[in-house]
Amino acid sequence: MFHGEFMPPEEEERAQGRAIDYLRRLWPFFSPYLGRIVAAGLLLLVSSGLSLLGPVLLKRAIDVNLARGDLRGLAVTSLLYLAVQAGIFAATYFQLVWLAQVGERGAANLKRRLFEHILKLPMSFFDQNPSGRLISRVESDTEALKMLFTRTSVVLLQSGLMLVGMSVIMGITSWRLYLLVAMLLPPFVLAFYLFQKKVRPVYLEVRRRVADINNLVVEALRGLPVIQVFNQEGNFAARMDRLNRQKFTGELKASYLWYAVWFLVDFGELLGIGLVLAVGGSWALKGALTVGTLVLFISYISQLFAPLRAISDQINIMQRAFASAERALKILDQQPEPAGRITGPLGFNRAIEFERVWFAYEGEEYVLRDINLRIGRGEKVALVGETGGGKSSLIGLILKFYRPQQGKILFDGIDLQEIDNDSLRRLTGFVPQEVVLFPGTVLDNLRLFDQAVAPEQVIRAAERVRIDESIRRFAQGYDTPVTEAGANLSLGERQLLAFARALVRDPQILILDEATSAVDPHTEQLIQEGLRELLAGRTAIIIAHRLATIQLVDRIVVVHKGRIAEQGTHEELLRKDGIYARFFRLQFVEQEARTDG
Amino acid sequence: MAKGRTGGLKLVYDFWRRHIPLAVLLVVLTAFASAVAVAFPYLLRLIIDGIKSEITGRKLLSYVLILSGFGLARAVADVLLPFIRGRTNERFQWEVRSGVFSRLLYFDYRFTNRFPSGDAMERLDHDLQELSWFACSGIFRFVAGALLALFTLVMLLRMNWLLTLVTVVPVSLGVFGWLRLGPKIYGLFMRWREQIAEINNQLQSAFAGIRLVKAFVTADGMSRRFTETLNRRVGLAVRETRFEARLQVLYMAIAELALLLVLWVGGGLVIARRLTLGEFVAFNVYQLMLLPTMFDIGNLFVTGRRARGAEERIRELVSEDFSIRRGAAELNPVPGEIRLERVTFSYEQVPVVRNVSMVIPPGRKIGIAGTVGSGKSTLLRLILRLMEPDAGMVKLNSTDIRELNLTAYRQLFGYAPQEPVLFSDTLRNNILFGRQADEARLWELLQLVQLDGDVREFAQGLDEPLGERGTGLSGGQKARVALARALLTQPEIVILDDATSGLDADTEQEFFARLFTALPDRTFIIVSHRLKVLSACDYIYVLDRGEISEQGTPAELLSRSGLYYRLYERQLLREELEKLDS
Repeated sequence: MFHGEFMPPEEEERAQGRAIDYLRRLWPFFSPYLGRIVAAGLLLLVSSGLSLLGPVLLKRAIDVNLARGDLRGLAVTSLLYLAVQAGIFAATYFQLVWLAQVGERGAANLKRRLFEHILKLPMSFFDQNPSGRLISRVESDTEALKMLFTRTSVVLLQSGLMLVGMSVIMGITSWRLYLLVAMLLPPFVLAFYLFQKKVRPVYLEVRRRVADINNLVVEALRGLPVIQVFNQEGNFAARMDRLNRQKFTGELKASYLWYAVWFLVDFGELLGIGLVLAVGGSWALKGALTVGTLVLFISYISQLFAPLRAISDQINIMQRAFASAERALKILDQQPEPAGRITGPLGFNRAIEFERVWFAYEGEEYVLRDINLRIGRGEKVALVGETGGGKSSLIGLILKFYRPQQGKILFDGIDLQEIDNDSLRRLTGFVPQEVVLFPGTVLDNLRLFDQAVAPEQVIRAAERVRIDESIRRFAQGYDTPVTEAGANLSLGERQLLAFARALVRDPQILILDEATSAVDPHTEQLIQEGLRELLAGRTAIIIAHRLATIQLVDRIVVVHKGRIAEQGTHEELLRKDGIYARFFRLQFVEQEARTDG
Repeated sequence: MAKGRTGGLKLVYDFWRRHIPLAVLLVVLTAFASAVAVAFPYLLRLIIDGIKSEITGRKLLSYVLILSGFGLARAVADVLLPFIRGRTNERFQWEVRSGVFSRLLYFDYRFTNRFPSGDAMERLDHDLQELSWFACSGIFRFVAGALLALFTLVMLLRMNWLLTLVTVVPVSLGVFGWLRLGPKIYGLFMRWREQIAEINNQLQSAFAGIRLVKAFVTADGMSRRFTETLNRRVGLAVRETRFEARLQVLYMAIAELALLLVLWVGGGLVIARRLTLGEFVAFNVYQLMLLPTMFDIGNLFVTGRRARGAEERIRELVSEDFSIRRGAAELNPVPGEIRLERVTFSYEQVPVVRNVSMVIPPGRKIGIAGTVGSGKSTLLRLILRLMEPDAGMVKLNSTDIRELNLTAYRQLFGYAPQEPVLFSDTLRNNILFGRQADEARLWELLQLVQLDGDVREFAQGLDEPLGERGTGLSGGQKARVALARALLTQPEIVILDDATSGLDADTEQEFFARLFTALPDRTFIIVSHRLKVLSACDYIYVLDRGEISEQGTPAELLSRSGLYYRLYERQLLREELEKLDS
């Protein structure tokens, strides 16, 4: 599934730190399954050992049973073989399943930990990291690590065991012939090593070209009108063709290397078999070697190179997995939001006060300057002003999304920074400008996955803002998935859903960022009624975009260029003929005309 | 693209029609490789039987040499074939991607509205990769498997019919088993993908809605839910692994059973002296060769189904022709007058431009004003023939522009859209944009758009890479680059769609002053919200909900108290607010 934003691939593919440190930190996610891991390892040992026996039995069948014409002996050998195979099957099956369980559970543990940790990080972290990037941290990087545990480790262990086992058996059977075969190995190991070194940058290059191609598709489709007006269709087609050619040549280069190694392996096999047949065969003719031994060597030689190649293949995968580990662990190293020390159920009794508050998202670029503001309990305040004036930052500070650089925000006389984030936020209801729906049912969305909230409570809230009827229209009512419901709900209804969500919590303080989109008069009516219901008996801070909303509040605070420019009631401010009066004419007079007409 | 099949896998079919010699080469090579592979065990048999019957050392050596020769040929074929197949897969990918993309480049808004750019990208990436494997490797691995099985069968039958039967039965079982179970694996894979999509959805919504998550202190609820989904996924993955492990064991069992049968029955035959030892070994090797073909033969049908789905998704991109008809008539060399006659354009049944008539005489500066969403940008796009009107027509010197050669027509224009469009390339190439200009001209332009100072500060000057892997520009800088691109060739008609709103008011005014001096005789069509810009125009059209509500010289419009005057008032208010310090 695609999530809108195109993301270029990460360039760093080699981890900076030491592999062992990463493994040590990742181990706790997998350690609960230590028993399974050990058992799977033992099974791996068993199955590798058993699979070495196949050629040995074949040799026995040829040299002992067939040579003597012993049909019963052959049957015994066959049965032995059958038993060995059954053992391999059982061992393989459980080893595969157990390791998959360990890998999946371990990766799930890591994913959960990452997710929980990310949710606790400060808002500034989310400002710097687009959600697409965070998704790949939680999803792709952990999957890469899972492969490290379930696949790479198995391949390395199995291949190593096979190599050693085959060498031992061949050595015991005929050490002279084995020495001959063993001489072949070192040049091949060297070749594999060189191959890995050469192919790495080629693959990186190919991946970059793929990224370039995808980027070109996205950019070109977004800029299509410009391309066409400037008659550049041909040039862009040529550019795509060029990138495709580069990818093609890159892939070819990789496959030259790849097949060169493949050829080398085939050649090595052939060389081995040729050597065994020529030298061993002549020994066999002299009676110094049995035919069965020859067959055993031939079977092993064709299995000898695969593990070598498998090991060298895993080196690349391992390096990338460690780069993934590094990225995931870096997230876990981020400090969570600082939490205040005053916890527990709070009450809001007197006022929220801003005292000479200065705030900047970055460095010295202050978006709020010297804010002094008092919002008493039960008061309803509208924040009004141009976009970018600092209204959203102001409510962000109240919700402790950010902390001011200078000055203090007092909550019933206590410094806000002393108060625990969650305790404070539990007092508030927040309705953001855009209605955010999470995958799940309507009910899930209204109580936001809080099982402690009874469905009746949710329904009561929905009834109060009059969205209940719309929800019951759906066949599954409150259990309708929002993907379905969202498409069938109008903009206004979605807004009411957000109201109901805030109302479910019965918050003492309501913080509302009003939607800017124009709606038809009927919906406007619905929203205003819902809003009135929502505001009743609460303290409210509203970023107001609608005239009707302004008429609901006790006081208007004009935020202009990061400062509080004016305060007062609508009439007072109009009389003053200052910023508010102008802003009112700019923003609301048109609205008035529209609703009247 | 060649006409021919219209049904499934048309892209694959067309590809092979374009590459018949390659197809022939592949068939011949595949057949050769299979034949050589089949000859190898036969020679092995001769050697082993030779050793048994105690042939001379010289004869043995010659056998070994022949065997080595065949082995070498087999090794070459084993490398060459997959190489050619892989190369052809890539070639297919290249041709299809370039082919589809070059068609998309001519499509208009109807395409981009239907397919988000990310979606089109996915189809040209993952779907195409899946299809391209099938296009050559999928097909020819099947051919190789089938031929190998056929040849082997012939060789086996020549040696011993009973043992042949014993060899072939398990392999056939394997093929049919794979035909039945392969789709099931695919089904599991699809469910797996759905799970991943669900997890991604949850992550996406939690991260994008983080303010809400924090404000509602719902992190615990969210992670409980996430954990549930993860557990479901673990369950599914383990079930999938169990199924695959069973399958793997089943296939290992089939293989071993087959080998064992050969060992047993063959061994019996050897002892009964109805089979030589060499034949026995040859059977063994044949068996080993046959076993992997179980998958290659069955796979054609399993991957074929997936490839068909992928192919449909790719072909869907170009299934409908969204390109604009390109006229043929040559353009009159005299400076053109553009005339709109009762032009109407609707988008999804909602009229965006209604019954608009206007005249844009050569050498004049035409301003277009209006509220947000009044149809200004659409109007410009209609003039540029990026879209066709539903009714009415746009004329250049009294010829319907639909009749005109589209390339030549568009060459008249320089255009800078509302949102500057930049590409991941150097600054120079973003301005040149496929055209030619010397260094001096470029710097002159940079000066005109007041970007020269910034460019001098770039490490690589004009060759500074922009975008994805390069420098990120500020909004104002981007707007200037787009302006420079539009003005490079000193076009006949300059269309600026609110392209200067990213500049501050003073810079903007200075820019226009310089622009009008630099290009005194050109036609300008300028959309702007700033009254200072509009008041420098000769004539202004005011749009309201797709219709022209007013027109006239700036002075005339100001003297009436219509929409233009109201816009003017609002502009003044905004400027006043801008200036007021609290």
